Amino acid sequence: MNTLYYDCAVIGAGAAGLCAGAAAAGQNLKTIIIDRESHPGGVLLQCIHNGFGLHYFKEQLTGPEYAEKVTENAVKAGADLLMDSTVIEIKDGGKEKILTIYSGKDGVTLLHAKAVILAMGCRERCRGNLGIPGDRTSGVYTAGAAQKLLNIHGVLPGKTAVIAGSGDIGLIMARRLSWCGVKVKMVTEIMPFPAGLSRNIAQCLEDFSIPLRLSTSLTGIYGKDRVEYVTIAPVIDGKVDHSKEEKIFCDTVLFSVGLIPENELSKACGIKMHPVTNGPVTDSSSMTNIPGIFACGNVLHVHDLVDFVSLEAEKAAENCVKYVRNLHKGKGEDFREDIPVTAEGALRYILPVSCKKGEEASFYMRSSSVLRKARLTVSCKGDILAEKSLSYVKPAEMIAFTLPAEKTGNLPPGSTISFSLIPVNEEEKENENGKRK
Amino acid sequence: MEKENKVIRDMVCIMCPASCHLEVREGAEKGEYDIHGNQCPGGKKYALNEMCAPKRIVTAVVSSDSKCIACIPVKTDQSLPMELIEPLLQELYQMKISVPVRSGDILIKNYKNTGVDIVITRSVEK
Amino acid sequence: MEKYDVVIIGAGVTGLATAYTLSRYKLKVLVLEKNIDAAFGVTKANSGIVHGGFHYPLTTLKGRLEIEGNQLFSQYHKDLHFPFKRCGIILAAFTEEELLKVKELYERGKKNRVPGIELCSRERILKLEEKLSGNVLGGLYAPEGGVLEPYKYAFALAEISQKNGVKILYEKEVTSGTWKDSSWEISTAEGNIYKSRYVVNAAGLYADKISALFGGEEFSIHPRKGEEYLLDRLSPARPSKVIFPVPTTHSTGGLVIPTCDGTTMVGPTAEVLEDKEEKTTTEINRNNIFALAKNMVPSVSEKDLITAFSGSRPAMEGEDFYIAPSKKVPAFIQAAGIQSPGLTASPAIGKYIGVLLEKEGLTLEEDPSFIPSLPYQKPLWEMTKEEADAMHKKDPAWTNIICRCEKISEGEIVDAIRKGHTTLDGIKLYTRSGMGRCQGGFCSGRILEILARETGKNYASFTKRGDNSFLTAGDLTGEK
Repeated sequence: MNTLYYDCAVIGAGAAGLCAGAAAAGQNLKTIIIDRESHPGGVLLQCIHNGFGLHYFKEQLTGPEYAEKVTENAVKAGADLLMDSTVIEIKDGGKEKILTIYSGKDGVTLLHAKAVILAMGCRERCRGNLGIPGDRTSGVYTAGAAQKLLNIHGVLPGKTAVIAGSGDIGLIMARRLSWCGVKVKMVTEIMPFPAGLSRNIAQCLEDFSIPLRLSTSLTGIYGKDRVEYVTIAPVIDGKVDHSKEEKIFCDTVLFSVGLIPENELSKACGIKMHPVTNGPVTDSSSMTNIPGIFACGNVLHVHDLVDFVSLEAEKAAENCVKYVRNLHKGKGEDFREDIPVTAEGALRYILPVSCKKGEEASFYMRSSSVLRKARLTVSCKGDILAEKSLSYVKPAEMIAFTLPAEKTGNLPPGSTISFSLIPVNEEEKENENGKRK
Repeated sequence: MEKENKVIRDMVCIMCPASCHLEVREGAEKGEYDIHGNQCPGGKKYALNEMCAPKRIVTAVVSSDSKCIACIPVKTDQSLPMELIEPLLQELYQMKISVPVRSGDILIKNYKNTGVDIVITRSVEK
Repeated sequence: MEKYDVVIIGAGVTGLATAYTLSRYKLKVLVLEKNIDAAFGVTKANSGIVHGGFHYPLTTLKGRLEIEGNQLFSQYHKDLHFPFKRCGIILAAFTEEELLKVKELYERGKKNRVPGIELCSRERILKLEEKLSGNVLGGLYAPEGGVLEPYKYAFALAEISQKNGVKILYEKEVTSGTWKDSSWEISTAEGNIYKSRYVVNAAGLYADKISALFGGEEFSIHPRKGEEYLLDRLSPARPSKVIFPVPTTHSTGGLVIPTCDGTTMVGPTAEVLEDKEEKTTTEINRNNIFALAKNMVPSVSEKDLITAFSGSRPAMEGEDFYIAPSKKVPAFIQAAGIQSPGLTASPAIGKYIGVLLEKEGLTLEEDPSFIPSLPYQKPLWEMTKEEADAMHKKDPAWTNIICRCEKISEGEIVDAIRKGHTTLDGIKLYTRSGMGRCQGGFCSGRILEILARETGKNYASFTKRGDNSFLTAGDLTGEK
């Protein structure tokens, strides 16, 4: 068995892991980034479309280009990359964390690290999770799995497809398949509004006249060996109306029905999970309930923009650097007061769930419904600390908000900060259904 | 503020993730358009293009002779007229890239005299 | 034309347990299977339960073979190493009527000499199984019951039989059987003819068709579909023992099963069908089965669902097993109607068919070169770090993890492919890759890559489970 010693171990070499690793190594922490794939970049490598990097790199990049840039940054900063290696266990030994790593090249490695940054990303919800009835045929894929087959292996998943769910990967795949000569019959979405970004509806569906069937449930998948057809039915007041079921003939079904942060490793080592995000609960320093274990990117909560992942990762790394430095100096934790933060009104969740008094804090949150116009109010015991007007708020699009240091500096002890999202005019609460032709 | 003309078309700008909702209205002169709702000049340019000659950035993969990476991703370095997308894709799918290549290498220069280059987006050593 | 002593039609547990029995003797045995791999018929969608032996009276053949089969599993497990646990079976009663039925089954169990069978009070049963609902009134406990992985068991039977000279041919659908010059001539769909002195009909759902092809007895197999729902290994519902509802006239199925591999399975349903290939799962059945299961184990939840599947039991009139020499044609052993508890009984069925063949005149002469057991290979996920590291030194591919959810290595996948499992389902059933919470989302592509490397074939030729279950549709250049 091999043994390695590092200041900081980053699990996952996707956007989050590479950016966190670059930032930690850039601050002279001895850093290693571990990933099970052969090439760094994570899911970006299969996202060959453009639209990444406008915030982080100030230019439009494709996924592989973004991956290459963040990889370069990590390598230049001095982070080591350990590829083709799977972390199978994280053990919290207080001031030292021990990672068990399996790889074909090195066998079993025990890696001792002072701090760990979780950046494992997420996985896709699949047919089985939804319990879609019918036959166990071939030709049923998650959108990301099909994307990998197509863009990495160069293999077509089928000839005629129905995409269940209007998540971004599904929308991107609708265009990608169309450009590969695969007929995409429709995209179904169980909610009355799409799950993906509006620009993706425009350029991936409307350009190809692919119908988006909102409030529609995929009710079954049938076929003897390969998919032969699916059934769909309208959803009325949250109930599927089976009497209006239709058959749609196709040989392929892709599921783009949401992402689940991959936290099996985190759970097994005792990290507390957030019931809404399915990711770890973190404080404003991106630290989990286990001191020295940080989390960022999609393992923490699902992002819609990789740029936000990168920014969040840098911040987690900065805090990780502080933590390791304090360990060296023999200092304990940061004893400044933690102010709890709550999500109210139309907010589904907010992260982090607390911030440090008198310190600038970045928050990420999501709305639970579609709002034409809304107001985000940050308050404490009725006093408004900050406000922001928003338009076209959607569950699919994350809201980012930075609370300046001076806003929290003078709050009395025992305060709670509440973030509240309120529609500006209830009548205008928009239902995207029917708006699009 | 002068009276606004009627909206001819609603569209979502695809230039960046902000996904601005654009309204295209008739301009002062016939054949001119006024664009509303854009947060940057790119949005205006996009909407005007959409009205006259829509263009898109195209991305695809091309097979390679690499032993590790079966397909190499490519993109158009700028938007390509939509009617040229299909012919370009057909051409790309029949090509084979010899490695090594660097991200940024030009695969096809000035595709059909459009001034658009097809650029490799992933470096592959071997 | 190849000549055999015995041709067995069907490579499910019945056919393969028979092959294993016969492989001890100096015989030429051939198994013909229409599917692409073993266990792909009735065996695959089995609940994987080794029954306790109290459901059927000893006056039935299945009652006798169940008891004997249950006991034989200890030896079979020791020799063949398929996943098997005698975790015990509990029958939980929730009404007075069910309590009466439990007493009746207890009496039957005593008569059947079920080892350790126990009639339990409410307190006792709750102590035995803490996942049970507090509404339970009492029940039955059979400590010798348990669970096994039916396909791994079938694969192990196939492997040991092959080691001992049995030939197994896949994708060979039998189309006719003719008695000629004191032996059978068996033709398959692609035109091959095999000659054999004896034939064993272990064709599962198609045993009726095979019997008719050989001029045997007329009977019909009625498929009785069972749907199963698999829950994530982190589900809080996982019990320590198999929990059965009490069989009453108005309820069937709805077990909560702690599978060998750490997941929890809820099912099966029971539904009589016309179509033998019908394998759908339905929303109504799912709702019913979850309601039944939640009644017994409240922590069962649809939220933990990772997949669902179904398969049909080959039921026939009279409900008992039909294992006997044909009275209409010579040298033809019928092994039909092997529904529940067929898996439990299978080791005994194999032996019983051996006895029947001997009675029909087949000479069973022990083969001194018989290899009684398979080498044991611990899967990576069960290894300690030290064991994994030692394994790495033998074969580095064993620490290269391909299926992240179930921790399955490249070494195990290559092993499966080299043993002839060349479909995605075959590899999955052999290694468990793709059985976890992401259901193959991450590893399917990598497995195809390994399959292509190992077999030298291209992606378009690979299927999920043979026939037309192709996984992909050619490459971007338009080539297949």
